[in-house]
Amino acid sequence: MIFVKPDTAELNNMLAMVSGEDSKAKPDGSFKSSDMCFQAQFVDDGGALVACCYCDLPTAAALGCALSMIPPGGAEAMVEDGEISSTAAENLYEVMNILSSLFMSNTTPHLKLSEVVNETFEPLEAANSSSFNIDLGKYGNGKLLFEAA
Amino acid sequence: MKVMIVDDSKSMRLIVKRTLKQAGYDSMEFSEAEDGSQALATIDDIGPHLVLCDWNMPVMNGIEFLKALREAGNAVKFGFVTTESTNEMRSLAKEAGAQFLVAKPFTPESFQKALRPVIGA
Repeated sequence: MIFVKPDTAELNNMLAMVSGEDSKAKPDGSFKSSDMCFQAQFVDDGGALVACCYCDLPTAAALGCALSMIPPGGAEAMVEDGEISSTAAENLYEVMNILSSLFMSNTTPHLKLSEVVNETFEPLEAANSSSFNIDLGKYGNGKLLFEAA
Repeated sequence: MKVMIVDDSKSMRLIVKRTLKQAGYDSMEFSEAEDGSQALATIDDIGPHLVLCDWNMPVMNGIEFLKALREAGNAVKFGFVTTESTNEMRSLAKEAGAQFLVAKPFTPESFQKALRPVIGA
């Protein structure tokens, strides 16, 4: 494995920082990318896709709202509507940008967020995966799946 | 109290502001800059009482900004908020005139602990 497998404690700290909520992430290896609807694509310095972070709609809405303190009701409404607002989408991009550091250590190559896509995913070949159930306090529960070369 | 937040990440500037509010610093007034160069160009007009600065930024990084500030005779209270926090970086920051370094990911308590001796609150 070239990149680091995200650590539960580090993920909790990172989610707590970006959401402002007490985060509880628990590993749950049962998630697949087909369970998710957003894919953050991370590329190496040569532009090759090397890692992805997937999330479901409730997670996207929760993280997208929590970053700029949009009330939880806003996130709930987005889930009911089946899509997130443009502000939440911009915030989700910023959150994924911050989460990119979970894949890296002092000994791994550098990677960076390229884009966050909705629904249509580019598959990542030969990936190692780890997935988590997350509890974001008043923003509710969600799912995150990490894949890396 | 006027606080200048210097970070090339818009989201990180937002998170720092939100975390400071969660830490109880409700009366802080914030200004922002995207890198050391922009901060250096505006700091005299803004006149912050405290600067919270990322380390790695394009154009002018945090330590270059701090050194430029001190060379210009500006003694504003200064702290780094940065992902990397090696002992070498901490001593480099202290030598250049920084009062503290807060490591990312941070919590409201991290800021309270770092700021209490510096701003007395």
